[in-house]
Amino acid sequence: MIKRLFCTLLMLNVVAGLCTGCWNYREINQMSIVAGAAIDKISDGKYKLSVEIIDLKTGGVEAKVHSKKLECYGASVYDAIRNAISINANKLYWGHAEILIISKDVAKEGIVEILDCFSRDPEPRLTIDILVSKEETAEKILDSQSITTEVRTFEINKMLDLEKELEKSPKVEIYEFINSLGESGISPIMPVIGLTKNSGQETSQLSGTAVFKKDKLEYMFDQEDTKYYLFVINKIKGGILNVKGGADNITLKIIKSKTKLKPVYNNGKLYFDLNIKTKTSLSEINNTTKFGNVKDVQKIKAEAQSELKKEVENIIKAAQNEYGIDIFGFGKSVKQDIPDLWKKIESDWNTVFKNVSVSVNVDIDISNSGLLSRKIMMGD
Amino acid sequence: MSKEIVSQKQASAVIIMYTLGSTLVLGAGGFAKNDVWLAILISILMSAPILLLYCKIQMFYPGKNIYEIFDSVFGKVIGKVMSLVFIWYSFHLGSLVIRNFTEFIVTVSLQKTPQNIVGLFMIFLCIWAVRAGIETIGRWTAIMLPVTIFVIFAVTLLFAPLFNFKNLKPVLYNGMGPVIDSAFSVFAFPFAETVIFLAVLSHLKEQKSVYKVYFLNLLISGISILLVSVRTLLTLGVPNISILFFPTFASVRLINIGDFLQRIEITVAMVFLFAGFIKISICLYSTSIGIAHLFRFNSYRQVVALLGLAMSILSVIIYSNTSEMFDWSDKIYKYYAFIFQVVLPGITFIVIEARKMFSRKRKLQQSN
Repeated sequence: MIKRLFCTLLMLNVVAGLCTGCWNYREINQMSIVAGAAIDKISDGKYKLSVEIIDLKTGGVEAKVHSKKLECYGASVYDAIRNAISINANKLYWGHAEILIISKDVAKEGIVEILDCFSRDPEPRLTIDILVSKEETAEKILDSQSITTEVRTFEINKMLDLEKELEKSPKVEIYEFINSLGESGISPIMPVIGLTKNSGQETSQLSGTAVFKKDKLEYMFDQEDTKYYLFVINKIKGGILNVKGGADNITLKIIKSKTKLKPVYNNGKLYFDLNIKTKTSLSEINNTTKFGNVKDVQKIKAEAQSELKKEVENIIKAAQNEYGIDIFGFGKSVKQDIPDLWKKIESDWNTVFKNVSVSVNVDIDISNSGLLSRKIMMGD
Repeated sequence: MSKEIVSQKQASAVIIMYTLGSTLVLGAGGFAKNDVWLAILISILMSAPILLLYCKIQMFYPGKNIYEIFDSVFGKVIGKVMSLVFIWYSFHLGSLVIRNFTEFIVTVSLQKTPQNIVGLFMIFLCIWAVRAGIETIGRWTAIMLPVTIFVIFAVTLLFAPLFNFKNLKPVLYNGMGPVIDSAFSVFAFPFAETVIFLAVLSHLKEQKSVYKVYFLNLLISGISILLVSVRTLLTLGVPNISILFFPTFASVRLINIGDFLQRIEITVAMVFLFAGFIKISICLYSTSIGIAHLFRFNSYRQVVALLGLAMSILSVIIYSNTSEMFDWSDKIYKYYAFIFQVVLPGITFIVIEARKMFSRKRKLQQSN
């Protein structure tokens, strides 16, 4: 009995020795938590990584979160990340990184190694938002003024999250980009970020969509076009619709919207049926607009429908004629719905896409008009 | 020492946990791409007759484990050889599972910790559990299985906002070939791996419930694996699944509900580890009673620690890198395992039937 007790105690001691700490432990004061990063290339082909790290120094009663910027260089992205140690003394921790901004020059040369680095390493998450900067360096975005938060990249992340109320920029996470890159019949896209002036200082602004062919940046289009693009790919959750018919200036608020894309193959001819069904409410009309009864609502509805139809057709035509890049996933929908046909046309999808016809049907429903029943009266 | 008794409920819990084991980590049927659900359904159907075979073998010799069955079916010499083959399979399978889990832990979080240290700590726990006996393992699993199943289903609900049902289409784009191929993979890993339970289920309270145990397992673990695979496909999409080593884990990392419920992957990894712990323990148990039977030890407990350590050492030297491990488990394992999962029980079954017919004939002759 005593021998057994002794053995147990001995074992416990040995185990206690092993339980004192982790093998490769990291304390929070030994890491620099990364909030986001911007990637540029400098003249000799090296990567320049500008990393925004969170400054955890607390002072006084109110502990505010501040950020600092680190600049590091390396032959590859991962090399640049590690080189941060030589100026920072702390290892970067990527578990909380939210934003990755890629400069347009890097994007034109191909971004697959960046995607590889960030999805291969277990620290950063696959839910990092990626953006293309349209300024000459992506680093400039990190230098711009923050308005509501102290950390620049967290603010960009919030802006992207709130895009569901505006819908003028897509929100793309790394894994979604890898998905569209890997699928056939769809080209990947990314939101664009640029600079604008706000009360005299430069601040960053989400400004449209960047289109990629394979992993290389092809072209960008602006915010308004992005909205109609999002209509096509069924990503609209909110936002507004502006209708200008003659002297009328009507603003509709989108409550919900659903787009159905259906490829049809009939008599050896392929075409697409695009049905957009949108529920809106009236938010603003000007003085000339007639509004008050069912007939007026019908008229506004018709105007809005033809306007949206025109814009959506324009964005599809532009993609077909100017660049010939299938950003809508038309090819993918053929693959999913008519797989036999896709096997035949996959090899020359780019030419098929350029000439394929798309019939757009828009159904806008104006379900209410806010607090007012008619326009504001003006007497003499 | 009195014989250990496991109730039907406990045995079912253990076998379900065992089947979920490393499948949750490695993912099942990824080769079938969009048709992974079909591959899993086919593999469930494929498994049913084989599991019936296992049940039949157990029912011929109620209360005996597979090693004793080998002895009485094939006689002392061939029986020992058969036992040795079966021991090798459980030993090897155990170290494969240890390797899967250490690889997972080392890749995902403890990158600088040597793999053998992680494996050593896992095997210490398993040695302890196996020495405590199958009854203890049964009781522990009966408590932990509901937790595991709950986590699997609850996490699936959290995935709902990320689902993209278009990922299921197109159905059968590349034909039936890859689907059958990956159905065969899922059959070999994990469903038919339950052959190891021929060494365990002799402890059942009522030998008849062996049917219930096997088929309840096929139902519950089948549904769970189907659910996990389909939700991974729906969230990540085919291109991501094809390049990721641990797609299930990666997909759980995507969950973010209102910036509040996020980073729950550790909870899920814990559940993976519960299941892995049971799987390693059962393999170790089967190996130990086999060795004890072969060398006529009084109790299998004498060899557990030794075999457990040997298992963890084999797990370190068995592959030189992760790619080798996935090459093996994706391409070679199903053919290798076929010998132990189908051929060996098949031969046993045929010999049992032949002997039965033979003895019936002899009885008839005697009575004439």
